[in-house]
Amino acid sequence: MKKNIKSKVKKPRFEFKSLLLMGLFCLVFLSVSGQQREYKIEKEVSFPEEGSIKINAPKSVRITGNGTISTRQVGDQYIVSRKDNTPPIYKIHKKLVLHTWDKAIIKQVSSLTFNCKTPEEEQLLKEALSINLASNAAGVVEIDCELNIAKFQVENGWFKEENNHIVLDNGRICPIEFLSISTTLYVPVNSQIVIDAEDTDLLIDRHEGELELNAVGGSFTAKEISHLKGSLQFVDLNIEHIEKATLSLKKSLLQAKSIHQLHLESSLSKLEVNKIEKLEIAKSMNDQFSLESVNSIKASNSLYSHYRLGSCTESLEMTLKSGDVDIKNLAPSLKFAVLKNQNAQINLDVKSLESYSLLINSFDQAEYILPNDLVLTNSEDGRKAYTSGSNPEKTKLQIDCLHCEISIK
Amino acid sequence: MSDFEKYIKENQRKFDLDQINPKVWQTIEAEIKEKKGAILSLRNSLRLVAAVLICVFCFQWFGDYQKVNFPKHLLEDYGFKDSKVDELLDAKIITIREASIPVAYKGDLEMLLNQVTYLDQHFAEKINKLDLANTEVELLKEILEYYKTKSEILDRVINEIQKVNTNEKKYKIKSEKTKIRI
Repeated sequence: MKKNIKSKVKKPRFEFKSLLLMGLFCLVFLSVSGQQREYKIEKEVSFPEEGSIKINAPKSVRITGNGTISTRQVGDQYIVSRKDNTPPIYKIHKKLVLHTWDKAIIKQVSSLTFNCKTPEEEQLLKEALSINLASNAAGVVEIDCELNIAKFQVENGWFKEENNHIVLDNGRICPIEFLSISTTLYVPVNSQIVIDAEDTDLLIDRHEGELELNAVGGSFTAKEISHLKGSLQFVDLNIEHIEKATLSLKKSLLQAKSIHQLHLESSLSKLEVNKIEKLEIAKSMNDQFSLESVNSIKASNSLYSHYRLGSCTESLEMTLKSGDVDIKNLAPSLKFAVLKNQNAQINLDVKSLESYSLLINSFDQAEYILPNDLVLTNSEDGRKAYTSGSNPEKTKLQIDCLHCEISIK
Repeated sequence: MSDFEKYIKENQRKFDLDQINPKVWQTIEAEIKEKKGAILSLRNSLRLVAAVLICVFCFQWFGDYQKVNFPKHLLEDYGFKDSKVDELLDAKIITIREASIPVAYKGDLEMLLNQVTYLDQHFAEKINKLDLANTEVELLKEILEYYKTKSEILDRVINEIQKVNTNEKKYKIKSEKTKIRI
């Protein structure tokens, strides 16, 4: 009995000692383990005459390894950690800021925050990471926002020490505990740029050259873009002014204050533009257009897309199927409006028109509400022609809408 | 020595057990085993029932584990009443599948439905990442946006079918009908 009591009494002391030792060990380990360091690397090169820039924007990290990995996007950061609630191992800032300047120089600045187990490993990492920035024979300067990192490796396990490291393009391995990268670029304002991006938030102030953007996910914010082209899926674009653009949009949002000229193919997208001079829609499927003021609009091959126009001032030519059209104001300067549609609702406000002619085809295959002051000039084979005002040739309206509900007021 | 002790001593031989026929013992043993077997089968039955119950529980729990519980406020933001979004979408798909439409509109509506396929393909990977352990709000919002867009497209198809059929009646058009492939 005495022995048993003794052994029972002994046990708690043994457990307390081991806990205390473990606690001390952890403290020592933590103090010995590296602290986070911040480090900037930058490089600049001359921009060749008639050269171009190709930017590989920060993308989702290429990860390999053995063990538990959790990846998530929080705001503009792509985070890799062992598990959801454990400290991050890698952080890639997916916001890419492009500053433009008048110099014929390209500059890349990468801000790193990292943490290694030993000062030697820190030094190794500092020396190993570099920016590859050079012009190739074709005059293209390639910018890689992932520096010279080929992949990230994560290794952990139940009875395994964590062993995370990065593998560089040259095969060199650098152990790390934590690494975060964010990039800022400086490019000539009139350069030709091609950007490939994935879930990246791109910010650019003003660009006067040709900008090609191919992106999936993320956003693009700019003040002034001279010439924009590209293919965008699941991208939010917010641009104050675009001079000229040729875009292919899928499930994207384009918001702009003013666009001079836009050539568009889109689906499942939304366009919200204050003022657009010339809009040409080559193909549209289930889009929503909200345009405050349009000078000239031409839409062909538009299926299930809705159009809401504040005003149209010069010309309108739309061939639609099953797309509602609502135009609040046909301006007195309007030369012609030709609208072909089916199975849709059309609302046109003609109050501002001084004089106009109206030709309706397939009159008996649609429902119409027409202004009282229209004068019927011709009626045959389902076609009806009307005029209003003293100079009806000034503005010509033509509507051919099968099985539609049309209201002209 | 008492009379009783005397009696025992004199009749000692009679008290010695005869050699039992082995068959008798085997019979007894078999009876015991049968009885034991009866007890075992009851145990086994109970074990089986317990195992089945555990399996049913696990299946149910796992099934529930696979369903994501979107936060209520997020669901409301995206226009959903509850987490049964899949059931809602399936109901719409069934409505479309069962509808008859004029042949002339089949191609256009199937093109519209291709947008659903496009969304499904894009979000397949993200859906796979979605589990109870992953409650990342950004991902939940993305998925709900996908469900919302998908629901809107299906609603659009249903509305267009109704519109087209209504117009055919209104304008007395008798065209050949067909079903949509979905």
